[in-house]
Amino acid sequence: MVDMQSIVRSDVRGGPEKLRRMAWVTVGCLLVLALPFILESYWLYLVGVTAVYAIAGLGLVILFGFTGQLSLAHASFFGIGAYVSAIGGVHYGLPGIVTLPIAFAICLAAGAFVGIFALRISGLRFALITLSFGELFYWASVRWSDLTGGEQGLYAEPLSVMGIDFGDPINAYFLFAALGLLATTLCFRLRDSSFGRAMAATRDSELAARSSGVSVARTRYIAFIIGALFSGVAGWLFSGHVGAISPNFFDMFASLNMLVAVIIGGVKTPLGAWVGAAYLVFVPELFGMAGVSNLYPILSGALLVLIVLLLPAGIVPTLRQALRRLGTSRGDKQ
Amino acid sequence: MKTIEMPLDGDVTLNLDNLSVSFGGLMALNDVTMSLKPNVWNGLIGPNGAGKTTLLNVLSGFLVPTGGSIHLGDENMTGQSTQDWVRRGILRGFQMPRLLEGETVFVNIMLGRHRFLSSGLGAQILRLPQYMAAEKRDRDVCMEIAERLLLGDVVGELVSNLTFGTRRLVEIARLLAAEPKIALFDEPAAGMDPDLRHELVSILAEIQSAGKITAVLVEHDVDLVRRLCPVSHVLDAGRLIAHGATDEVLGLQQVQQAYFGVDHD
Repeated sequence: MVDMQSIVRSDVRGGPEKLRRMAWVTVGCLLVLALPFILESYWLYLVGVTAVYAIAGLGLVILFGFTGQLSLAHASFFGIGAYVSAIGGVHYGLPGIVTLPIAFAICLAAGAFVGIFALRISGLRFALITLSFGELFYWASVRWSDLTGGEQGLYAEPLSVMGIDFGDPINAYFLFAALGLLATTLCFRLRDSSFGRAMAATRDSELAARSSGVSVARTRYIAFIIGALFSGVAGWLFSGHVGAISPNFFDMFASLNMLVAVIIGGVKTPLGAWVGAAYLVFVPELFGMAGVSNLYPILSGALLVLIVLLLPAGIVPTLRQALRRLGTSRGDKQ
Repeated sequence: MKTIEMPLDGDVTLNLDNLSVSFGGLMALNDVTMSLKPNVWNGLIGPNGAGKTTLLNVLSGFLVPTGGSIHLGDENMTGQSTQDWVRRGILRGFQMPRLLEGETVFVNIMLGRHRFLSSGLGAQILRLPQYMAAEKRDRDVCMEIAERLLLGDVVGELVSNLTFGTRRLVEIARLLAAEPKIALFDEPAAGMDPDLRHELVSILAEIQSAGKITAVLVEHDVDLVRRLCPVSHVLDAGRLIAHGATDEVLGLQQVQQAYFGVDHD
């Protein structure tokens, strides 16, 4: 029964669960602080890319994992953020502090527009609508070559916000760590809020949602916009960090990759977005290190199948379950 | 975000006047008139296909009647949305429990508190004191209800791991967490094992005798209706064929004929 009690507590947030949580958070913070002094700058750069994709992934966790809504245009919002940041910097000499609110506003508007369809349509049919938006965005990013550089893409200046140069890898690292932490906290708080329950109800049972007074359409709409904003801000960070962007970072396959990443990580948990992003960034890198990068396209598919078969809930929930089992077998049995 | 108005102070009658629902040519409800008096539990009985669930669907905004009207006191409820019904404290359960399969029992029960939400998204994310105080209250209420419905030990369990009977309890807990003024139960005790069923019935009896909520109970089990509902309404083929004190209604010949197929002569 002791075990039951701790389960009860975990939901009311207190007791041993809280202590364990704090321990994990402390370990995490120390790791985040130590990393830039351990890793060489290239690896630090990759950690930055991971953080960027994690922030975008958090948007998908909210949209897909929490609300159950499939989007095939997530990379397009990522692209909006990236292009605003790059075009603003290159063509108009705008600093990051100005391009961020612009990217935010455009993603808000675009999300609010595409989201209108979520008011009436759900599931795969909505996914198709997001797909057409994604295609439209891709087409525009290729065609408006005066601004976007077309297929060639364009170079982007490293971000500079209020005199701090984020071309410096350590500065960049801390910016990404801070924003990643903020986004993750937001995501956790959303999940545990009343709105989080409305999202879960929308995902699991529309009847339960409606019979409890939840507006399913409104919940979907808001979740879609929040997802778009997460992705847009991530895109804004992306272009300055990688230095050059082109349309293929933001096409349908990029959207699918993001989706695959969060599904691998665990689509219902914010940490899943981080694990998924790390997978996306580091796995190809590891193939490269092993000198077999040409095997990546083949083996990555097999790896994917393996993960999905063995860990259907994703890496994070499976790990968590294993840890819990370890904990209970160490503690009192039955 | 809209604030919740709760004009229903428990003493308002829900009046159904000449209510009809037709699906194509089929009259699922045909000219039904009844009134649900405050704090009275109403049995709603009749053979399968009589229109009982259709009536619950209308009384929760899931279906818009094709004819007639519904008034809650002076307020016209005809054609109002599910949200409007819930906002006024009229809540329903389902024949098959509808739950959030990916969430814990506790989260499921907490969903019932949704209608009391008065904080916007910003306040929720920033965890402003007013929201957190409400959340704390909601948690306490839900924990109490969970204990009362014998769910205290499983609040942290995923709903999908539960047995059918327990799932039903979770749905009833969610309904009670919403502090309904009018509760609509659709065969709440069906499919439960005898022990659990016994517990549930005594909990419902306790709520009924407290006399604070109105209820409509769709139920096939006549003994259960006798025990919980002083008043009953009988539907047959979409028509209201009898209503009144439960014992009298159940004794009527046409009711026995429609309901049990018994032919007295």
